[in-house]
Amino acid sequence: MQELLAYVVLGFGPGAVNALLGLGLVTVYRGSGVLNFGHAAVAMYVAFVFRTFRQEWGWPTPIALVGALCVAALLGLLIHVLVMHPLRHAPSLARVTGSLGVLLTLSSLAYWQFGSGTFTVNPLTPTSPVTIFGVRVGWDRILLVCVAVVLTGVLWLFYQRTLFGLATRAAAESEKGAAVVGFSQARLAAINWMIGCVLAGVGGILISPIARLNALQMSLLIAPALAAALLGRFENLWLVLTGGMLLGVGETVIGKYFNDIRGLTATLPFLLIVLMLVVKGSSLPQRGELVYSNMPLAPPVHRVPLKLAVFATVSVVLLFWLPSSYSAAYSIALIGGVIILSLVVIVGWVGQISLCQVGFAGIGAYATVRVANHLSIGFPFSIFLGALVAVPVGVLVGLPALRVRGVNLAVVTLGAGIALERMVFNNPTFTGGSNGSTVPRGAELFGIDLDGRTQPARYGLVILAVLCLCVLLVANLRRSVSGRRMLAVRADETAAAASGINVSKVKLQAFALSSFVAALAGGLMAYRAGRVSESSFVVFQSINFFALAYIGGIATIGGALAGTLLAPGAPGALWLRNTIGSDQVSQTLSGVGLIVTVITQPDGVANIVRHEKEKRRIKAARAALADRATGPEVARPVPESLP
Amino acid sequence: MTAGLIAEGIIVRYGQIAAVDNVSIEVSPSQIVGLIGPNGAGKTSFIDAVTGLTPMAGGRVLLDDVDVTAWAPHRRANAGLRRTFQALRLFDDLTVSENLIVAAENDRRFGFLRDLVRPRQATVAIDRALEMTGLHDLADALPRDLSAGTRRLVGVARGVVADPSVLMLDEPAAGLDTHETEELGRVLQRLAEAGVGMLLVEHDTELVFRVSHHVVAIDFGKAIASGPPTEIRQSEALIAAYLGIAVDEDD
Repeated sequence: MQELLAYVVLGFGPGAVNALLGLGLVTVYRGSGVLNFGHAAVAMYVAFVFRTFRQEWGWPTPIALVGALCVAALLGLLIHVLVMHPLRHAPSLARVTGSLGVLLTLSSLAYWQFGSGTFTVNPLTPTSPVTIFGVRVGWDRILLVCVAVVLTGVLWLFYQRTLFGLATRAAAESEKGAAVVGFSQARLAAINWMIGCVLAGVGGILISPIARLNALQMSLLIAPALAAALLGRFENLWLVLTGGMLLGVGETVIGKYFNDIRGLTATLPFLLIVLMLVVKGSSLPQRGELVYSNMPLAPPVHRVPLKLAVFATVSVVLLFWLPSSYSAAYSIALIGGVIILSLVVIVGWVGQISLCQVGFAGIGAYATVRVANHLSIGFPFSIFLGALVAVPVGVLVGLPALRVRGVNLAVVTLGAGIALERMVFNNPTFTGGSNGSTVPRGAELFGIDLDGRTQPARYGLVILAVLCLCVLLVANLRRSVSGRRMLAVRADETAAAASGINVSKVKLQAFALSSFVAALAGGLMAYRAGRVSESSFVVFQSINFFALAYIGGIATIGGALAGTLLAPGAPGALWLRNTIGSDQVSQTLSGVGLIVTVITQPDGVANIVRHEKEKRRIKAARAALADRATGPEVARPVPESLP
Repeated sequence: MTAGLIAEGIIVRYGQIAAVDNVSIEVSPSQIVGLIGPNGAGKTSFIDAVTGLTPMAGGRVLLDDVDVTAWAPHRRANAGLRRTFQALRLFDDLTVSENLIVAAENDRRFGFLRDLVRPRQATVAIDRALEMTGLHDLADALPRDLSAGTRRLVGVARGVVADPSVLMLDEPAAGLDTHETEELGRVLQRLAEAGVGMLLVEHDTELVFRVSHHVVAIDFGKAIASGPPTEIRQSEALIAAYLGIAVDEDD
């Protein structure tokens, strides 16, 4: 009992941080309508700044604290002015994407500036524990809990009692209404962004001595923060506090008593998210916003075999002609292309935001290795069977999509990605440990050695073949009735159902196909390196691929594929590393590029050309219709506006 | 067997409020039934309930003698119960003909997997629906390039392309000019001649009285009058509901 109590108290620390991050998320959401996936990344960045001020530059702690929190406020202002204000009338997919851009940019920037390792932060409080009710408690935990409770109270009073708080709550109900009675939505949003980011900063600074500081790990605290905020239904601050604390306590207690199941604790936030969104059917409160909810343009596909033949020819030449480092990088890009195709299906055509595609790839990779090892089924059937294993997982992840949509689904899939990473890929029971993750023998077909390690260029051909096959499948889909059904579901689920389309079935088909394609990429990775390492399947890669596909044009095959050239290890990234000398440039570039794309060219770069064609087409259509309008015509269409 | 739609005692509640309170309507093949009433009378809620898009608190729906009350919306649609929307809700990324194809094409066994290998093009005839709505030379246009009136016709065409038993039209004349409304009336009559039963929800009572065979008027979720158009046109209850003349009002 005493021991349990000790673990409960131990959980207060992380719990308070969950709560602080959750509070900041709610503040930003209420103030600006943006669900900031980069919120924990802000916390991480501010914590790094604090550490630098205090430990590297030797500033006294209070001054370092004030300085770091000023940076946090500035960061909030910058995110608002540079990213979210320009997107204020954009559809929610665009704003989610913008905040993912913030996440990528900040984490890669932190890598770049502060390093990729895990850093210790000197404690803020005396380390000597005090004994309360027979339980020894560190001062740091007490401080954290106090700060969380006090800040919740202050925030609550602030939003209840001040005019500014009233205006924020009004704007959360109806932006137009608040604007009509004279509140500047832009100013409200800016200030709320600053408050939210300062809260994030406080959380980041307080947790860093306890949990230590790692750019990626800390950015993923977004999952428990989201879970806490959801428990408070993005409204009730006290419930957010409670939820955050409960999660923290739950994690330490479960970590104590079920420590043989590794990563189980990391699934807690995911389970809570699913419980809140799917089972209880609650979702983010709708804001009365002025938003056009159109998705990126999904143009029809033309002349696929011809384009594919050109692409394949060029690829073959590149694979054998490029210097070996770039040839290898090109193979990696081709594998990335397969993952991106899986995104085109699920995000581009059905409009379901999935942030766990690389997780499916991971399942494919491990399953491929297992099939090869345990069933003695060799290449290439092992890859196919391994990919099939991912299909039920994909359908399972897709099930919530039958209940929740849009931003809410992004939350669910991000949670699923994190849960997969921690519970499956970091778990030797599933991966079979270091022995279980090696393919028994390299790829070989009809006696031709295609081993990815010894014959990288030949193996590149294998990847190319799979990619081309996938392009054909996906292009066929776009041209078929099934693909059009997907676009119908994307455009309007209600109207689709009323037109006889089984929306659930269409979504699950898309998830099944998408996870299968992503898992093929995983199998290809396994045979390329001869072994599987879990670091390839971190959830960050999912976000990164989403960014790359979106930049190119997530609803176009060619555009999305072009994005893969910037994938980690791909030629674009390699070139940047060789030129600038840092691995993080391409990451930062994909983060910044994502933000710029979503603001300036929300249909993706590939559609710029198309827009020009479209303008000409409409001009021609207008001319043709003008002729018709003179006759006694039934339907007299007059194009009203350019899209 | 009674063909067509029988909706019996439909009740829809939003919280404590009964938006539709025990309304019954029958639509036979080739018959146009008008459903009129002031704003907020529960007309759209009635269509939503019958098509399965909103849960019913009571009543049942029979389509061609089959009880479809417990069916999902897409299943009702495939059984021959179709509708249009007041806000149109066309599929914006699809051309006019594609809008029709997705609404008409039946599911086939392993259709999805077969589409991956050999994409199936339209196997159903959409020409007749295009012909009847006068959209035949706009098949390849995108909905956003068309005028509001033409877009309404695309909605109607999408509703009839699968040869439904009953089509429920939600404010099909909203935003149309006089000429376009007249043309719409002709289209509806053509459809009726072709055997489609229709429930016409419309603000433009002139259109309703002109094309309907039978008219039901509702107010505050309750049917207040029902009969041939000529009779309803004279109905006092209806005039009261529309013009707000107090019949029995205490406060």
